[in-house]
Amino acid sequence: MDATFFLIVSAILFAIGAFGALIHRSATRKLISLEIMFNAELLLFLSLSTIYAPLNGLIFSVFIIALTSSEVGVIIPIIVLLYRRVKTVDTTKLAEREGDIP
Amino acid sequence: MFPSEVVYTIYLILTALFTVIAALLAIRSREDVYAAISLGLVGLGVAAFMGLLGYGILSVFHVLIYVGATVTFVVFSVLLIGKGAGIEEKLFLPGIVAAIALGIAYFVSMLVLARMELNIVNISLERLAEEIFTKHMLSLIFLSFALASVMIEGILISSTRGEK
Repeated sequence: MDATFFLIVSAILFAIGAFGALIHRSATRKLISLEIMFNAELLLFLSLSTIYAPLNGLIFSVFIIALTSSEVGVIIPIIVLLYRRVKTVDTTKLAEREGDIP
Repeated sequence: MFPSEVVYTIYLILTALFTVIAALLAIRSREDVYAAISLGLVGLGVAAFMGLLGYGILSVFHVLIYVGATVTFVVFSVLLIGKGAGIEEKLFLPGIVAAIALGIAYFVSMLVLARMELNIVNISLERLAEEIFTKHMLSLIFLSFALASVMIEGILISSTRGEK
């Protein structure tokens, strides 16, 4: 088994995530798309780490997953707070309502 | 090819199909809640890939931490917010072109590594714990600080009033 299969799956997931991040206006949907891109990266990283350094890849991935969880834990409250202030999560309208954001 | 290798390949293909379909659902579903649930399915698919590569512990960790905590957090937050914002119609076609170009660029940039043979790894939990608690203690402390600060930040934001 070579890494081509994982590379193809990872590239497809990455492209799908990028497409979602480009077309969606909602901040939560953009975050979901970026998380798909993160999963694609993690998959490729792990498949390649089996060749070079399996243990280090495993440890690095544990830290990556935990840090991503904390990153989502930061971004989601910011989005909720933004929604409570300006009553929208539409990223295209946020610039128009600049005065409402303290 | 041995029968076990055939079964392994079938598992890989099924997992790939599941993950890609879940990712497409996450992008194309109308409701934000279904998109967040589909993100959880993508996480489950990636965890299945981890298990197939031999990273069983990481697979469980990914399901527990990423799907179990993070995605559930996203789902409940989307439920709180309630409504989405739709898509940018004029960016639909350029978005498809840009995503395909990005996927091809990603594939080509990594193609040099693609011919390498993968190994199925087998690392025990004891080995992982020993390695983390001896060689990577500082990283663990920094991670603990990061998680603690996120917790404090979450409490502060939830206690903040929405009005100015």
